Amino acid sequence: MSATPTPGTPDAPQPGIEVRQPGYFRRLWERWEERIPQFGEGQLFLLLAVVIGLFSGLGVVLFRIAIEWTQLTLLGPELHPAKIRLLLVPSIAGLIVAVLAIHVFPRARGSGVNQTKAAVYIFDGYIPFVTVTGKFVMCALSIGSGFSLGPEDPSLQIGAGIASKLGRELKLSQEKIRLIAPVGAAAGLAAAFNAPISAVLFVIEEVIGNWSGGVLGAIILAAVSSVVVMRQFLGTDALFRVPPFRLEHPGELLAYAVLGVVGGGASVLFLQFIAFTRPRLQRLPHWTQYFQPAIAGFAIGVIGMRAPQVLGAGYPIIDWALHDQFTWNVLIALAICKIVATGLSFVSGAPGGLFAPTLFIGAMIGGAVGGVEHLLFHQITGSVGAFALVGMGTLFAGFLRVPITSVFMVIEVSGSYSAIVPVMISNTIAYLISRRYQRSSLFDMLSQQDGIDLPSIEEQREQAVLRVENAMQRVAGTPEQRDEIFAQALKRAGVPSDGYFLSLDRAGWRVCRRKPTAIADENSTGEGAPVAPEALDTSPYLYPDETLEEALRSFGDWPVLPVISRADFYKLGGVITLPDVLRAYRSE
Amino acid sequence: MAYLQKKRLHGVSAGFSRQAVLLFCTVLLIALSTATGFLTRAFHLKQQAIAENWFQLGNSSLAAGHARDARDDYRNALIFEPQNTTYQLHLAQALTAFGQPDQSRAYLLNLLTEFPGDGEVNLELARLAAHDGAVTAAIHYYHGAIYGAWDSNPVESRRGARLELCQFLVNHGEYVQAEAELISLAAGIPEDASALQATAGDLFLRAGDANRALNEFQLSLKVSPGNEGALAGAGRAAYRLNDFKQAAYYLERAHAANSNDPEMAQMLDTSRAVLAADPFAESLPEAERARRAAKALTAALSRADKCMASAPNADGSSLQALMERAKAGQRGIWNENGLHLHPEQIPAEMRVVFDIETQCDSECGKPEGEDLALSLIRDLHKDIASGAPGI
Repeated sequence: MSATPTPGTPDAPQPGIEVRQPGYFRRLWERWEERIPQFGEGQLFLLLAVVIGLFSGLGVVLFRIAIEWTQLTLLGPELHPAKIRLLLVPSIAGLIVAVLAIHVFPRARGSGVNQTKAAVYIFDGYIPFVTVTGKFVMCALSIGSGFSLGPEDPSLQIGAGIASKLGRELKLSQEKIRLIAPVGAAAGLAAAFNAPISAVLFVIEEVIGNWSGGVLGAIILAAVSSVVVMRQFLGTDALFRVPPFRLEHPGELLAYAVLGVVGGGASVLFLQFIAFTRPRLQRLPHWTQYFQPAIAGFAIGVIGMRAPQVLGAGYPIIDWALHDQFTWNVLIALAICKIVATGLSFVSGAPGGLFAPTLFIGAMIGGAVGGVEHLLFHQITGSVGAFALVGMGTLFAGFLRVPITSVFMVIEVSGSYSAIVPVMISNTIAYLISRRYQRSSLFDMLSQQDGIDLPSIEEQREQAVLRVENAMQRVAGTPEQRDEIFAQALKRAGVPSDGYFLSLDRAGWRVCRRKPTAIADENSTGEGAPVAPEALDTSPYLYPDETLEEALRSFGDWPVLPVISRADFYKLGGVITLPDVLRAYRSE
Repeated sequence: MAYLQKKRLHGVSAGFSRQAVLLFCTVLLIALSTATGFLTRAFHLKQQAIAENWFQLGNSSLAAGHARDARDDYRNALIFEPQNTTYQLHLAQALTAFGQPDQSRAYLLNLLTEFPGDGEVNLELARLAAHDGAVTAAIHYYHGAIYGAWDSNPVESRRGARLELCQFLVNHGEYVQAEAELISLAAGIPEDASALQATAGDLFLRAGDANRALNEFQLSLKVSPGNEGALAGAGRAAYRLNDFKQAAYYLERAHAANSNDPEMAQMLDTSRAVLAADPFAESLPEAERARRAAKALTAALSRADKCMASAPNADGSSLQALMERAKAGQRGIWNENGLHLHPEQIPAEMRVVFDIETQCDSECGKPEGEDLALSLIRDLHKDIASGAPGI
């Protein structure tokens, strides 16, 4: 029973105005709302990560079903569809996709990785939900009609879009909304690949670029919960089944090193195909964009007449390659056809991902290299399927330039740890070759072609880190030399040398200065009295291996800091000033 | 920022608290999960139906001997149900039938990893190993099949796998191991499985165990007295055992059913010759025993003459000595009348016959016809041939 408002109080009804009492359900809701726990921003972020994972998992399950159902409906239930279907279906689908991409879902183009990065770095984590819808519909149509693209990168963007929408609806802070898109991206990718570790690593390697503790927990939670949902509906099996594999002799690793070289070369070719073709097609008159996907679709249909294996994502064909189902010359032909079909699909503007085609091409190249090596060297024990498995990771490392993800991805999609050493060797070689002969990674290249300046995570990774030892003035020799170097440091910092002194106490070397209160007391009592320890301010200290960024945070208003050894606090390695730090950055 | 402007314009979400949004999310999750569950189930059913259709087509193609079509059909089935192990196994079988053993092995090894105790998978792998001549691997996989799990007809399937193993071992000359496996196989054959008993008998015979072979053939003939293969096998086994009476019995019946086997005909002739020429046969009248012994000596001398003539460079001194001794004996009492009167001389006389035959064997090669019969009689009566008292 509600209390009656007292007349004259602010809640009292004004004469002539009818006050509507809240309804029963409204009151019930308010009472319930008061009772349920109130989440802080951090707790809510983690809870939201789980919710994002659940929604992304469901979204990806529906997305995959939509693709397969579309494929079944449009191309039929056999590997070799009728020729008329092959020519008409991708062409018409290309036309529809082009119209949708130009008029309805302009932000749903591309693979989805760069779009998610753009959301993080440019749009404060904002991905309109219509983009998620557009990605879902357009990718289902393009991949389902035979375009040689995959569902993983779109799943990543779908996950990021769902996360962004939920973050906005829950009124998260600006900072958290910016962070929530990668959380959704990891969830989407994890569900698409059934590979939570690879998804987490990919998002860290390619999207956010660091192991920030604040977001890592949420990314893992989201990835795990999305995979749980996906497995509930689509089964727990790994994406591919791999025959048992054992490395009999270490010398066989050379065979996989050769695969790394070939895979690296193929990655560069594939990258340069896209680098060459895409900007030229983009420069064509705007009206041609309506027909580019249709023409690409027609070309893919023609390729599909001879090699229907290249249509769509091609997972069953990868599985066949892993089971030695093709001879080496067929594998080479399939790899070439897939490169052309995927290149055409992607540069035409049809939405879809590049992960699955990369795995496909890698598996074919790996199998082909293995087949040829078997012909030449009968003592090689690794099956052609084992080479196909390693090849998948090799092209992933060389083409997408995510070396760590590529290793874990092979383990997770195959559910087999046995090929880890060959994968590491082959992937590293392919990655190094790709970096040597193709300056920008795929995603950096695409963002440059699109005229946006997204941070290159790969370049960030490669940047040399400046450390305290690169900037400090080393102290060595006698105490006189030490005092001389300290005095010079104070001079460089532009402070009088008499206010600061180096002190060694039980905690090690520190720079000390008198506290302002102690100076006032000293003035009143007269100079000459010994300075009590409590009257001194002591500086922080640095270690030689700390980064200059960390050093800058430590400086505060200290003009000079001591650098001490981690092994011996009583050993002064040197001193460092702010001008030293600036000089080190300038001379980089 | 665009979305902030949008939010200001619409202000839709401003009215809902976080709790309300979370509650809505929960309800939406439940609804979406239910819908996804229905959709997934419907789609899986559709996929299963399509896969099953391809699988049946594959079965028909394989049964019709169109291994290539079967392979393609099974592959199509696996597109829709990639984890279906039955389809994988059938694809492996189709690949083997199509002559792509390496491709087949890849699937089978994968299945073996998943089901290491599966009898059918082990059997397919054993067949591939046997095809490659990899004896150790084949034996390993055959044992996997014999002791593995079978979905249907486990007893018959295991027996079939063991039979294949026995055939493989015999074909590769691994007779000792084959005999051990055959003994296990024979122990498990039902009494009414006539054909299987005959097969086991044949394998025993090829493995060198004529005794067990004869036993298996006889068991088979109990169920199917007219089984031509079992009759021939029993005849051969009895012949190998120097049981020429039984050999002649079975071989005559087998020959009556199939007279186109020259080897069998020769064995029958030899068996008859042995039965007709053996002077030590039981229940023979003395006169007949003497006649046979005298005839044997004549035949041996005749072979020795031919041998001496055909191999003049051979060292014939010992044969010559034997011939002289035989001829001297012939002139004495080692003739039909003498032996009839002195039957105690028959073993001594036959020892000379056996020695001549043995000498001729080493000088002039294998005997034929009557001489072959005499050689077999020598083997049959080794005690007499080696000097032990006869009769």
